[in-house]
Amino acid sequence: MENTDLLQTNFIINELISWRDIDGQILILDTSINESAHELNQIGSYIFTEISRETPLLKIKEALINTYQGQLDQQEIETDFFQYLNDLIVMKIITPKKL
Amino acid sequence: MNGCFGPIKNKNLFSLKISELSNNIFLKENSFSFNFHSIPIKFYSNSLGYLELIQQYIPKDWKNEELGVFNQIYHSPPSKDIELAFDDETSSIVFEKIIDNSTTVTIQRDFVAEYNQVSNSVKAIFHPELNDGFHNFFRWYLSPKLIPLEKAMLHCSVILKKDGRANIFLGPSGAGKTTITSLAGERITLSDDMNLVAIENGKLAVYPGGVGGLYKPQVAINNSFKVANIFWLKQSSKNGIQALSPITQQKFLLASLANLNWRGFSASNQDLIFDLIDKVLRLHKITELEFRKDSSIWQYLDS
Repeated sequence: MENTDLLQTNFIINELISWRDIDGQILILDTSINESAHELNQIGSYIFTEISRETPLLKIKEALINTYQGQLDQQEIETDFFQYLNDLIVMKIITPKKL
Repeated sequence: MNGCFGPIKNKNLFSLKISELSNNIFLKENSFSFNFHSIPIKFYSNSLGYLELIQQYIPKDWKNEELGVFNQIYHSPPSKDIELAFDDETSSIVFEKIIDNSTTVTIQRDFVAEYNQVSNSVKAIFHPELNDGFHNFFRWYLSPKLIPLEKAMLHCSVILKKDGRANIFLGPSGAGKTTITSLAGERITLSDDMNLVAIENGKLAVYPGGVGGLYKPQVAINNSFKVANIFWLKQSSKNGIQALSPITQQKFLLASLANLNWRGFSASNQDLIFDLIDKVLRLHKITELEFRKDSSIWQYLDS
């Protein structure tokens, strides 16, 4: 999926997985799709949590840029953000919300 | 959805195993009923000798002669055509094939099984012995059923302290679960690889798993022990104990659950796994145990 299409799509957490927020870090249990447990890092946990709240991806991206402005190059943040989203999509951890 | 995890080395054998399920006859004449940690099981087998062997293995107070609803297992030994080659698969594959809405075929190195969700019955083929086929089948079959009962089969070794309480040692393959049992001297080991934990009356208990690992029946599988410590093993040049973060403890416990490849396990049941892990960790924290591969570790733990 192209990045512009991604930003216009509403995603939700796949209902087949279970997850816990443990002190701000997300642990995912996924016995039926990837048959594994995933521990997300701090930024990954932030993105995942916002998607679970159905925050638009554009807002999540802007929040990340604001947070890491001065520390990281904006282009680098965007590239990592879209790569991470694609990883979540490929692993079916997030899915497009059906209207 | 089908799934195959790991390369299949022997595709011909793989096909033969699947055809065994439809070619073999599963007799419903002779059975033995028992409760495995409160899971009612009616085990049918074409082999009378095997039924006797199972009866000897299962503790007497687990026998269940009541009428009721059972999880039904229909066992058949491999046919003569495949008997000698049945386990001749060098990879540790797990293959699952969904036949229809209610039926799933599972193939592992030493068993093949067809599970029917509607009748709650499973046809299983493995050698009529108390070895890997029996262990792997029962571990695959029972592990998901234990979770709603606040019990779990764990990849761990368990060694009793002098006061009779249990030290549980977790870790991936090669971490030292078997090594630490071999260094334990006269201390009693439950199993070096597979044990069952249960929350009973608000406390954590551990039993010998009885379905895998090097289980020397020093302790019957219906004997439970209070838990003293849960350690995550890490080989080192020194002995020491380190605290672990809450998420690391959760992750390590999840990683230690046996047979997590539970296709069709619903999200609500996954929540039960998280709930169980929460309860276990509220009762006992997991700490990292750095240990030297010599008997000094036991002097350290005893002190």
